[in-house]
Amino acid sequence: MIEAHVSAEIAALERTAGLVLLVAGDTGTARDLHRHAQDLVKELGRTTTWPKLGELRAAGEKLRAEALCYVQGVLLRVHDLDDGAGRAVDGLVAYLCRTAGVEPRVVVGVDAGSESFTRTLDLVRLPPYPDVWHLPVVAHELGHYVIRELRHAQDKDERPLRLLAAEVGDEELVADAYATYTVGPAYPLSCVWLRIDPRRVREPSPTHPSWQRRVHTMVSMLRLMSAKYDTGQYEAAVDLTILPAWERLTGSASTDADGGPVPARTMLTRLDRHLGGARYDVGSHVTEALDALAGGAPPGHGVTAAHLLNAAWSARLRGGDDPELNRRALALLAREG
Amino acid sequence: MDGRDILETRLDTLLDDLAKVSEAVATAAAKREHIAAALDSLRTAEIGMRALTGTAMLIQLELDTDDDGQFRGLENDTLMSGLVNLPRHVSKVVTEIATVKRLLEPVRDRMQAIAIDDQRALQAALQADCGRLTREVKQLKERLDDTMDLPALWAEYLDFVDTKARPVFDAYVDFISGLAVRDSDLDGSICAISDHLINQLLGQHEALSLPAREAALSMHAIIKLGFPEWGIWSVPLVAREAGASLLRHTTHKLWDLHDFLARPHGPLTVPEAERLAEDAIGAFLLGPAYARAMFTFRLRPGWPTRPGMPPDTLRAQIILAILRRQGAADGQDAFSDEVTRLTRLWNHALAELGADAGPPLDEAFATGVHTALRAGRRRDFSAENWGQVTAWADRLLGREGDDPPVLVEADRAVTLLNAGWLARRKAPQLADDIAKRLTELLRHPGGGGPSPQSRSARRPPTPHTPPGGTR
Repeated sequence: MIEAHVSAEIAALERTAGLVLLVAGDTGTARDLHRHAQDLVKELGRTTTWPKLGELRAAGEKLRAEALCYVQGVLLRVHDLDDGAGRAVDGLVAYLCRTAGVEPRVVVGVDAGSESFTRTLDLVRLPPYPDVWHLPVVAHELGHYVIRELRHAQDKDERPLRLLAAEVGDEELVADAYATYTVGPAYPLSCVWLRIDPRRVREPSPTHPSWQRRVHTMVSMLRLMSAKYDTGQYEAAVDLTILPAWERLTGSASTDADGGPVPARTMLTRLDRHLGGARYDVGSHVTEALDALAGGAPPGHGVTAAHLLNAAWSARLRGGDDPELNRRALALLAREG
Repeated sequence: MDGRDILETRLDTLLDDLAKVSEAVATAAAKREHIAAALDSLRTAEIGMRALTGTAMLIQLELDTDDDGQFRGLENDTLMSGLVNLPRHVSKVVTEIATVKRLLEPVRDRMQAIAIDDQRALQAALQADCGRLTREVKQLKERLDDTMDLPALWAEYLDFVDTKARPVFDAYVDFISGLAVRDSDLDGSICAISDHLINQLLGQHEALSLPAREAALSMHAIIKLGFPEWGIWSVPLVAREAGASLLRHTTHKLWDLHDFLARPHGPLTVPEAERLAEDAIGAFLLGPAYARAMFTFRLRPGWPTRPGMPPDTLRAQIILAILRRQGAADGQDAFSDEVTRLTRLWNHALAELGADAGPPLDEAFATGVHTALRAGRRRDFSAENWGQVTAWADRLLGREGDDPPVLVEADRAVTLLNAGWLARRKAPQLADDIAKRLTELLRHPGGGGPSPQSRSARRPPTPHTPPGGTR
C-alpha cells in the first residue's frame, strides 16, 4: 500500500511543478520549484517506510502551499483582479532589492492570512488587497530575504546580516530594523495604526517577539538615525506621530523593551556599513511626493518608493484614507518595477 | 488606553477591504460575461466582414480589367489608392477576427463549464456575506463615538476580524483564484468533472467545485478541491464535501439523520458524529470508489487526529460499515468481495504502519446512520450500479468484448469513477491509461447513456436475480 501513497505523492509534486510552469512560464521561480520538487521526488522514489514518507509528505505539502500561493498571486494579477496592488508590490520589492544591491529573485504570492516570507521559493506572501498604508510590511518580509542574500562587498562568501541576526539572537528584530532603516517612519506607523493587537503588546508569539520589543526597536532605530545624521527628521516622526499613537493604542507612553536591551546601535552600524545606499532619507522629497499623491505634477527622479509610503502616511494622518490617493500611490509604486 | 482614532482607522480599513472583495467578485463575474459579449460582437463583425469581402472582391475584379474597369478615369488619387488597397486591408481584418475568435473561444468554453446561474448564485452568496459583515462593521463604528468602554469595543473588533472577516477573505481568495485556475484550465478539467459528480449527488446547481489549497466546503455551495488532489483519482473525495453540504445546509432532506445524530452516542461528541456521518454519506452515495480514494489520499492511520475530526481509524470503519450495509440492503450483496478487499487493504495499512486499530465503531451507530440515510430517499450506490461498474471496468482496461451496458445518465459519474478504481485495482500498472480513458469519458457526458434522469429519488429495490440467470 505504501507504493500507492508514494506514487500519489510523486504525482502531486509533478503536478505542482507543472502548474507553476504553466502559470509562470520559464522563470527562475518555476525552475527553483521544479528543482525542489525533483529533489523530493528522488527521495520519495527511495522511500520504503511510512515515517520517511511522512517526513517527505510534510516537505511536499509545504512546497505545494507555497506554489499555490504564488500561482494565485500571478493569476489574480494576470486577470487584473487585484486592483493594481500586485504591480505596486512588485515595484516596492524592486526598489528595495535595488537599493540593497541584491538580486530581485523574490516573488509575491497571495494568502488571506497574515504576511510572511518563506525561503523555499523566496516567496513573500501578502493578503490580496494591500493598500499603500499596509505596504511598509513588505519591507519587513523582504528584510528576511536581504538578511539571507546580502554578501559582503569584499568577501562574497560572508553574509554580514546573517551574522548580525545570529548576534542579535532574533532575525525578526533585524528585519524590523531593516524595514525602519529603508522605509522610515512609515513602517512603525503602519504597525501601530493597522496591525498591532493592543491586548497582546507584551506577549511574544511562537514566531515573533512581542510588539513592545519590536516597536522599541523601530523607535530606537529612528532616534539613533537622527542622532547619527544630525537631523531631526526621524526623531520628530517618533515624538509627533509614532509615540502618541502608541500611547493611545496601548495606554503606555513607553516602548521600553521587555526581555532585555535591544542592540539597535549595533544594527544601525551594520546596516550603514553594508546597506548605506538603502537608508531612507527624507530630504525634500516627501513634499514632492505628497503633491503627486494629491494629483499634482508627477514626482521627479529623486522621489523613491519610500518617500511615497511616507507621504501616504503623512496625508492619512492629516486627512484620513483617500481611495484616490491610494490609487495614485499604487500606480506610482508600480513604476518602480 | 483610548485609541479611538486608531480603532476607527481599522474599522475603515475593514470596510474598504470588504468593498474590494465584493467588487472583485463582481469584476470576475463581469469578465466572464464580457468574454461572451466579445464573442457575440465578433460574430456580428464577421457577418459584416463577409459582406465587405464580397465588395472588395468585386472592386479587385474591376481593377484587374483593362484600364481599371468601372474605375477608369477616376481622378481622385487618394480614392483610387484606397480602392486598390481595400482588398488587402479587408483580408487582414478577416484574419485578425479569426485569430481573436480562436483565442477567445476556448476561454469561453471553459467559462461555460460553470453555468452562469451557478456563478451568479455563488457571487450573490459571497456578496451577501460581505454585505452582512459590512453592516456589522458599520454598527461597530456607530458605537465608537458613544461608547465608554473602548477596550470592550476593541475586543469585539479583534474577535470579529478573526472569527468572521478572515473566513470571508479566505473564501474570497479561494473563490476568485479558483475561478481563475478553472478559466485557465490549469485544473485539467477536473473541476468540470467534479461538477458532474456533484450534480448527480446533490442535484443541479446545488454546489460548484473550485480548485483551492485545501479541500473543504465553503459558503455552503462551493466544494473546494484541495490542491494537488486535482486529478481524476481524487474526484471521489468530492463526495465527502457533498455529504457535508447535505448535512449542514439541507436539513429538511435528511431529517431522520439529523434526528439520529442529535442523540447521545457513547463517547462520540455531536461534532464527531456529524463528521462520521459526512463520510457515511460519501460512501452511501458513491460506493467503493469513495473508500478507495479516501484510503489512498486522505486517511492516514497512526497519524495525529486532525482538530475537530474523529480519528481516521473510526472514519475508515464507518465507510466500510456503510458499504457492507449497502451491499446487503437490496438482498444481492453484489460488491461484498470488493468491500472485503477494502477491509483487508485498510488492515494491511494498519499493520504496515504499526498503527493501533483505534476505538471500535459502535455498530448500532453505523446501523442507525444507514437506516436514516435510506429513509432520506437519496439515490444510493447499489447492486444495479455494480453490474455496470464491472462491465465498464473491463472497457477501461482496454479489453475488447461486448459493448458495456448503456450508462444511466443519472449514475454516469458514479458508475465510471467506480469502474476506474476497479480497473486500477485489477491492473495498477495500467493506471495512467485507465486515467486517460476515464477522464475522456467523464469530460464528455452524454455518450453511453439514455436521456438524463433525476437522481433525487431513490431507485426501486433491485429485483433479485437467480444464480446463473441474466437480467
